[in-house]
Formats: sequence, C-alpha cells, structure tokens
Amino acid sequence: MRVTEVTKRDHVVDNIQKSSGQLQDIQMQMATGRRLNKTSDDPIGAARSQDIVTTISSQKQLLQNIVDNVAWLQRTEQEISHINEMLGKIRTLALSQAGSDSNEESRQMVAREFSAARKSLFDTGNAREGKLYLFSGIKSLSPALKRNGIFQPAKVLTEGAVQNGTGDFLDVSQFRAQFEGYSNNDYRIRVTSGGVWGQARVKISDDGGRTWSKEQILRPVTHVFNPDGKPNDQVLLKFSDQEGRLGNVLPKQFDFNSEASAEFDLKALGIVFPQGLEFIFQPNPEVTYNGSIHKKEALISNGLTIPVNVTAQELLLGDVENGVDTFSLLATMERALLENDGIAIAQRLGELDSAQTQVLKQLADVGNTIRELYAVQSKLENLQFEKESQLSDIQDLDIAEATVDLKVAEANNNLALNTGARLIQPSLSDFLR
Amino acid sequence: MPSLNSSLNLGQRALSINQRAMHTVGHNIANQETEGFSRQQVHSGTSAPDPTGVGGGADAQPTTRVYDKFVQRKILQENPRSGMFRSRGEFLQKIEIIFSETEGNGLHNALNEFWNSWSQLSNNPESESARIQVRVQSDVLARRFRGMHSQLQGLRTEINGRLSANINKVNELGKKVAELNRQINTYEDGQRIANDMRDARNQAIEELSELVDVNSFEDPNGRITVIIGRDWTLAEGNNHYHLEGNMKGGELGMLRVDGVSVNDNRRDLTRTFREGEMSEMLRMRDETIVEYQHNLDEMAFNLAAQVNKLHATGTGINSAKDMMKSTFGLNSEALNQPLPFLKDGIFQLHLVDPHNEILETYELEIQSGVDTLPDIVNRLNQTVNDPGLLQASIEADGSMLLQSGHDYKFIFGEDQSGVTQVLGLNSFFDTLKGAEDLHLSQQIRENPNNISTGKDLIPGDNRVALEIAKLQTRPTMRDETMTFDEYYNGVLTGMGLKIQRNKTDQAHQESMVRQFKEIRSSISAVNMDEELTDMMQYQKAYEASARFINTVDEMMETVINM
Repeated sequence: MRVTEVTKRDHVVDNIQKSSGQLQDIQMQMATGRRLNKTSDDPIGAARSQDIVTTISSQKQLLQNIVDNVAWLQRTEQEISHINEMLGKIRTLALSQAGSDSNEESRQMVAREFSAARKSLFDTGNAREGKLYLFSGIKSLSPALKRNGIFQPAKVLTEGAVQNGTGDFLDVSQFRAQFEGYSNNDYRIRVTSGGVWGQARVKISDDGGRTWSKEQILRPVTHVFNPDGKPNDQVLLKFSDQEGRLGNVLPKQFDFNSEASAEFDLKALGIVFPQGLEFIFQPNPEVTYNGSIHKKEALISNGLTIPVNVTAQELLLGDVENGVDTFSLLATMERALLENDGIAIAQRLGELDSAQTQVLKQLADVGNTIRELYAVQSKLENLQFEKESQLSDIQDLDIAEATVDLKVAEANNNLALNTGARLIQPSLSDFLR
Repeated sequence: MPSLNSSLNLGQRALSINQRAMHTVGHNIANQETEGFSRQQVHSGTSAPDPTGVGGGADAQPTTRVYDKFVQRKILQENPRSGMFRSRGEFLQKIEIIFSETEGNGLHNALNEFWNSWSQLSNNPESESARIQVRVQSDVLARRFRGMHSQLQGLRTEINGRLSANINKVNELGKKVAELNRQINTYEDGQRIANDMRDARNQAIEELSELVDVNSFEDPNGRITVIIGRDWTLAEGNNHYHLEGNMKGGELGMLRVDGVSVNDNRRDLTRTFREGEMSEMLRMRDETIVEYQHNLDEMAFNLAAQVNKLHATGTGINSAKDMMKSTFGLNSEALNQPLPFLKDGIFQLHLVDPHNEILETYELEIQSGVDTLPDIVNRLNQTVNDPGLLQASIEADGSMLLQSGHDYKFIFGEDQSGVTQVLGLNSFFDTLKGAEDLHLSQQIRENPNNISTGKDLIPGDNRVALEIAKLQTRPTMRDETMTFDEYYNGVLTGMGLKIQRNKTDQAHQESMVRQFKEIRSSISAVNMDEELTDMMQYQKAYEASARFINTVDEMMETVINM
C-alpha cells in the first residue's frame, strides 16, 4: 500500500492517543483508589456494589435499632426482677402468717407491709424509661395501670320486671343504687320476690347470671356475697335518695325483725322492688390495665420483627381466662390478715405462687428476646464485615496489579512516542543537496 | 522531414509541459495537509507524427486527480453511523453523570437514608427528632427526584440548542454543494476538469454525512444531487432546499425539523433521519432521555402511592384534624363521573374528642365505577347525620373539605376503597406527574407530628412506620416483582451496559471508517518523497528541453552561416 504523509501522521497520532488513553484510565483508578468510578466501568459490578451499599446502610440502622431495643429490654428486665423479688418477699411473709403460730398483732403488722407492697407494685407497673412507660404496650405515653374508683352506679335492668299487684313499677328516679368495692366478678342481683326493703328477696350471681345463690333479703345496704362461699370481694349494694342520704328513704325506727313492722303501710314507704328487677355490677378490680394490648414490634432484619414490650396486663393482671390479678389477690390477703384469718391466707398461697410464675415467665421471655437480639447483632456485625470486604473486592483497586499495569502503559506510551518521532522525521529533502 | 523551426516549436512545447508538471508538483506539496485534497497528475501525450513517421514531441493533456469514487462512497455510507455512535456516547456520558452515585449524593443514597429514617422512627415513634429526621430525609429524596428529572430536562434543552446549530450547518453544506455544482458546471466544458472544486464538493458531502445519512449521485452535467434522511433532496443541480427548526406543532419548547421546498412548502422531517449525529440527537431528546425520565416518574409515583396508602389511614401525635382539604380537586366534568382508581370496599372515618378518644366510627361502603365525589360526600353526611359533628363538602376548586364541629376532631380509619389516595387526604407525598413534582405534603412540612406512625392516635404505636420501613424490601415495582432498589439498580445497569455497548460499537465503526480513509489517503494523499522525486525528474527534463532548444538554435546558426 502507498504510504502518504497523511496516513503516516494519522497512524502516529492514533497510536499515541491509544497509549495515552490507557495511561489516563490507570492514572484515574490510581488516584481514586477505585476500580469502579462510573457505572459504565462495570455495569453489573456497579449494581452489585449498590446492592451491597444498601445492605450495609440498612444493617447499620438495624444495629442501631437493636442497641436501642436491648437498652429498653434490659430496663424492662430490671423492673420485672424487682417485681419478682417483691413477690418473693410477700410470699415469705404470707407463709409466716398462714399457720396458727402467728398472732393478731403480728398479722396487723404484716398487713401494713402488704399495703406498702401493693403500692410499690403499682408504681413499678407504671415505671418509665425517659418519658415512655415500660409496660403500656404501644400506648407508651400513658401510664400502664389505673386505679379504679371504689364506687360505681348500679345498672338497673327493668326489662324482666313483672307487676304483681303490690304497687306501681319502681320509679328509678326516686332513688340511687350504687355499688361499693372492687371485684372481678360479673355480679348480678335479681329480685325474686317483689316488695319493699326487708320484704323483697334477691338472688345473687357472680358469673353474669349463669348460677345463682340462695335467696336473701334485700336491705338498704346489702352485702353481695359470693354464692360459692369463696372469700368474698366485699362488694356492697347501697341505696340512697337523690341527695345521697340513706336514712331518708327508710324510717329510722323501722326494724325488719320486729313484729310491729308488719303493720307498717308498705306502700307509704314509696319504693317497691318488683319481681324480676336486676342490678348489674361492672367487674371493677382495684387496678386495671390502661395500656394497649398491642406490643411494639421492632425490625431486626429485612422485614422480620420481634415484640419488645411486656405489658402490665400479662405481668401483673393476667388475661381473662387464666392468670392472676395480683392486686386483687394482695388486697384479699391483706383483708384476711386484718381479720386475723390464717386459714384464708393459707388458701391463697397457691394463687400467690401462680402470680409469681406469671412474672417469672415474662422475665424468661425478656431474657430470651435480649439473647435473640444479641444473636442478631453479632450476625449482622459479621455480615457487615463480610459485605464490606465484598464491596471492596468489587470496587477497590488492586494496587499491586495497577502498579504493574501502569508500568506497562507507561512503556507503551514511551514506545509510541519514540517510534512516532522517528517515523515522521526523515524525508527525501534531508538528503537532497 | 520536419523543419528546424518545428523542432524549435517542439522544444518550446516540452519546456512548457515540464513547467506545468513542476507547477502541479508545487500545487500538490502546497496542499498536502488540505482536507479532502486529492493529488493531481499532469498527463502528456505524443503529438501527431509527420508523414514520414518522425514524432512531433509531446502535447499537454488535462490535469487529473487521483481519486477512487468507490472508496469515497463507502466512507459516505459508514460515516453517519460513526457520527451517530459518537454523539450517543457523548450524551450517554452526560446522563451517566446525572445518575452518578460515586460522590454519595445520588438517588440511591437518598433512598437508603429515607428507609433508614423510617426504620429509626418505627423504633422511636414518640421521638420528635426521629420525626424530624424522616421529614428531612424525605425532603432530600423528593428534591433528588426533582433535581434528576430537571437535569435530564436540561440535557434535552441543550440538545435542542445543538440541534438548531446542526440544522444551520446542514443548510450551509447544502448551499455549498449547490454553489459548487453551478461552478463546476460552468467550468467544465469537456476539456477542463474542475479538480479542486470537485474535491471541495466531496469534502462538503463528507462533512454532511457525519450529521445525517446521505445519498448522492452525479448527473451527466457533473452536478451532484444530495438526498438526506429518508427522502429529502437537500441539493439538486444549482438549487438547494433548506431545513428549518420549527418551535410550533411539537412538544412545548422542542424543535421540529421541517424541510422547506419550492413555494415555501413545508414537511416534517423529524422522524426521517436514520443515522448521523442529528438522528441521534433527536432520538436522545425524544426517546432515550424521556425514557429515563419515565423510569424516575414510575419510581416516584409508586413510592408516593405506597407510602401514602399506609400513611393516609395512620395517625401521628395529636394528628387529628378539625379540618382537612383534599390535595386534588376535580373539574366540573369529572365531578359528575365516577371517581377513578377506586376499589370496592369500606372507607372509615373516626370522630375523636379533645382527649384523642374515639367517639364514633362512620363507615361508608364504596362502589368503584359507580360512586362520584358528590355521592361520597352526600353519603358521608347522611351517615354522620349531624353537621355539628362532622360535615363534608365540595370546594369551589373541586376538592373535598372535611370539617368537624367545635371540640371534635377526626381521623381516618380503614380505607379499602382508596378514597384517601385518590383525593390526596392525609398524604405524605404529593405528586401529580411523578419525579418532576414530588413534594412533601403541606401538613408534613408544617408539623412533623403529622407523620403517621401508628393507628387510632396511640402515640407509641409503630405499626404504620414499621410497614413503611418494610417497603424497602417488599417488591412493589413492575407488578410487584421488584423492590425500589432492584428497579433502580436495573435502570443503572441498563444504562451502564448501553454505554459499554456503544463504546464497542463506536470503536468498531470508527476503526472501519478510519481504514477506508486510510485506503483513500493511500490513493489520493500526497507523499513528499514522491513529489520531490517528480520535481527532480521534471527539473532534469526542463533542463534537457532547454539544452535541446539551445542545440537547435546552434544548428540554425550553422545553417545561416553556411
């Protein structure tokens, strides 16, 4: 092929371009220390490295979450251990008072300790970490436990009442029916034979009307006894007039047991309770759960969550089916102590054990969760290291290799310049005179 | 037998032929670097002999150029592809810079931070600072979407400007070809050849072939017809028909390429260019870049939809409202048509008291494809049945307004129907077009406590935040087959591969064109050594011719002195 000035020049320029291009690429890699500087340097590698960067970044966040949650759970664990210790102490005290060895004086003392323990339990149930309540579930800004009022108005059900000729229907507006006391039971009080106080008879159910007690007389202040003869909850049904005065409804001199009362004009007394009338008590334990039954779930790895709350419900109050309401239990035992009733205390020891088991179960669960979080943490830390080295493999430069490459490119470049210089210089004109 | 006089004549002709040859050598040497120049050669022929067979010396013949039109044709064929790949590579690199992640401030990074901030908020739903973090990171993400979209739009505008310059260049070259056609036609008369003008014309067509795909042929009068694109005659004989950038009729602000023929007739040529820089610019501007913008839009849309869906029915801290207006309004025509994009299902509103306790729950059964906005508003008002509690109405701009009575507020409950999303109620992101106008909603910008983390106003509830954080690993893109990350990685990888492939294509194409040009150079370009050799040869011949004349002169003198 014919060689011309233009082709000579083009060749030389082209070769120098090529070799200095190579040199520049390597120089760029050396300067940044990275093999991958643009997506197009290695599109597949770039996608993989982005993937790894994302994983590393989200794992970092997960690790931070875990640290937070472990701190939270450790605080929870502390409080639960505290409750456990308290219950253990109470159990020892109760045991010492259960038999017949103890006397009334010491039982009064212990009753006071019970009272303090109940208060302390309540406070621990409302423990906080910062501004957040530990045992409230996701309702973390509200106290976990709430003390209920001792009074509640009775719900009066007139649907089942029958008129039996003794008088007009009961006028509810004339009086106020009110319960006093705490109980978990669904009490219902039903008038089985109509009449005024001392005349009307009632039956009592503690399970919402499924089973009923024997008949008893309805009085202005009626003790709502537990039909099964279990230690009762000391719930009273009281009647008063609209001003809240009990005496006004009933003549002071009235005596149900005297013969004279039979001559009283019952209708003049005003209030006749018709047969079938019912008074309904809303279960009203001393302490109720005020938080949410939903627990906070924490992300521990991509898409996986783990609950990190213990609710005061499961810890101290138990669920409806089984479990122990620790507060009611302690209240009952305290009453038994005050009444110097050693047998009643002994009867409750089993329940006290269950209450403690209930707490221990939560303690174990929290321990397990903490252990699991630690396991995830160390797994994530290992993964983090692994991912970082993978990332480095993809995007970082092998310095030794690059140095060799640089030397080669440098040599190529020199060679291209050198041969180019020689090729382009000589011309026939140099040799003409 | 020739006379001495004719010998003298012969010598004089030889002198002038060698001088002409020398002149051509000078011309070649002078033009050795001229683009498109073909070296020229002087030809001589023997003059007619006399009747006795004695030769009459040499005659000058037309000067020709050394040129292979088949090689030139090949170059014209391959050049447009070369220009196309070069231009594509240049713009793809600019796109790559826009998508660049290496500085840690790309979209990918913003997405990671966005998900992380939600993960953190899910862990601390009561924390003010975690809420602010979500707001900041979401704002950064929205900004980045908008920024990338507008950078891509900027690139389109830049291409538009370059296109206009290219149109001018094409017109100039077309005009040049037509002008040279005229000059060549006048100059050449069967004897003379317009070597340099033909070279200049070839050069003009070759330059043209980098911009557009070119077809050309020569008519019997030596004039070249140039056809560009599919069928536009740019130059024919002495005439040329120019292109014009037209702003009207196409996308707003984007040039349309018109061809203007006789009588000012116009034709849209935008889609008729197949190869060359111009075709690639149009393709970049109208297809490639637009597609990347669509990719961003698709992501931004889906992100807003997925987050809003979870967000709308959730609650933040004290986030119950006594008044809320939907982001989107309907025009009067749309008001009478069924609301689009609804699903069959229930839509709940809760009325809450000042202590954030739920007082009432209103539930509507929504039928998709049936219920219009007024239907929903009326049914809601009927269900509530007390304007003092809660009242819905339609504003003048076609948006829905919910207002609760004094001392009451409201929140959204379950929404299977998607009413909240369609109207933009209690949304986190607002967008109509996608990446271009992705913004945080007004209420989030106003107060980070409005960020929904849970349900029913329970402050420590993290269920909604958790679901949003989980979106990072849930396949929601492309018919729920890809996560956001996977989708975006796919876009990036596709772009990287495209650049790589183009690099290979471009290198291959350019080396091919270079080889053809080399062949052409080896045929047509000037070699100095050759020219110097020729020069010496012609010098010697000139000297010899002069000696010949001298000798004949002496012979004549001899005759006269006889």
